[in-house]
Amino acid sequence: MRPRLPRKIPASFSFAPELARQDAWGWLEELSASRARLSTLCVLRRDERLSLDFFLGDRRLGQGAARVIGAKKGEDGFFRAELAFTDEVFKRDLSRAILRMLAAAA
Amino acid sequence: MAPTLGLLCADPEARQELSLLAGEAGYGVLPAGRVEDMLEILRERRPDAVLIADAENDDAAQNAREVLRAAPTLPIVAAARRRDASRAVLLMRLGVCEVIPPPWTRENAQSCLDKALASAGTVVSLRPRPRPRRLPLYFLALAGFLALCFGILSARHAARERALKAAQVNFWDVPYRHPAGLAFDGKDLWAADWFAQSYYVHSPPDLKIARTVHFTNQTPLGILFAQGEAWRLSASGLITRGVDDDNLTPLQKYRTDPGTVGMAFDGLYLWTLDNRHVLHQHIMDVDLTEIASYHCPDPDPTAVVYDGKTLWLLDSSDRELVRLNLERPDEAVGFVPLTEYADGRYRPTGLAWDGRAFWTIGEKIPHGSGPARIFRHPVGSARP
Repeated sequence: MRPRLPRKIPASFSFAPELARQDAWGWLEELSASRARLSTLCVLRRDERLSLDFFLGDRRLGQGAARVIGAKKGEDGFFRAELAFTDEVFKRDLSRAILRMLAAAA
Repeated sequence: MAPTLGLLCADPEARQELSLLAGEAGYGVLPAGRVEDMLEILRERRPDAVLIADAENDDAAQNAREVLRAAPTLPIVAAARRRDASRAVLLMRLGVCEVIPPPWTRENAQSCLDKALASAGTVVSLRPRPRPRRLPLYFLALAGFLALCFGILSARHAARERALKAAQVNFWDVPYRHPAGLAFDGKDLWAADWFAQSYYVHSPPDLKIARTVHFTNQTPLGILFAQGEAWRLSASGLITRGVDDDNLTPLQKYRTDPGTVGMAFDGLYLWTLDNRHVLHQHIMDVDLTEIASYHCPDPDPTAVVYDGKTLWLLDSSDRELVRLNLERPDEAVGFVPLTEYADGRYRPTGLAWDGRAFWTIGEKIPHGSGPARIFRHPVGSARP
């Protein structure tokens, strides 16, 4: 079962300082404890690393280090990027938050 | 019918710009400078979406709240003057569908507005959705790689087999021309050359001549190693028993039939073969007493050898080996053709057995016209 939230989760993300790239934002179309699918106007390439920042319910999940494992520009002009979270602590926090949210919804 | 878009922007220039962009994107624009005007538009014109500009003096968050209060399900798109990700996320959390980043372009505006009109919620799960499979490609690549490996390996294997086969030489040319006999002393091959009056000792595996033993007063026809001693046969029929040393120092001499051409030792008896095709059986006593003789079944025997089980004759005209019954040597029990001589360029004159294979030495036809040749006959083809 894949429950769908009533609204998409907005997320901002930043890049490593040495890349000198501006922060950007997008929507999380899918979210799991280890992966996420991000829809954004920002140009993303495979194997880029970024730090994801978003709210899940009222809980803020910040500094989520992730790697782009696939990115494709859709016909609507938005990039659909598959992100794999690389920070184990973040992944644990995220899975806990998701579990809590799913339990509350159930 | 083109979708309609309410545009809320306090700054007239920015409103003009956004209005143009939205118009280019294919929307019918309903502009408003103040939030009250926008609420009026919402009530009367019911636009499909609302575009709100976000600037320092024009708080999109506040305006979006007002609009959402009036029309909670209406998609709202914000156009940010300043690029600020946290501000954008804040707006999105308030209910804004998309935030158009600066600089405003037609592509960005169109993407955001189109998406806002066709938005849906986030899919949430603990396990990630399986990624689209690229397995066939990987599989093909892997299969191709394996096939390539297999091809290379089998080609190398075949090449190695060919090289081994090519390296497997079964004949050697020797530098003398008149071979008369061949023998194996347990280590080396001995060939007798009647013309050079010498014995040539060949060392396996390459059959190089290790040494030569020369006799000035004899014409060697063959040699036999038995009971740790060397038995030499010369053309006069004289058999010389000698020490198996460098000079084959003689110990005793025996007179036999002058036509004797070959000798063999079966562990108990000495066998001699003469040119009238008769095998003589001798006891190894002081006189080499003959106890029996048998007429050979073969038309043209030229050498005799004992292979540990029975006696074999070498037929030089039919170029074959004849297996004899040891109990009754006048009876042949098998024939093995020597295919190496099939081309007729050599005539076999000597025969030896090294425990694994038969060896023959052949004289070039016509009679000593070229170097003699030693052949090895592997067991598989030589033994019936």
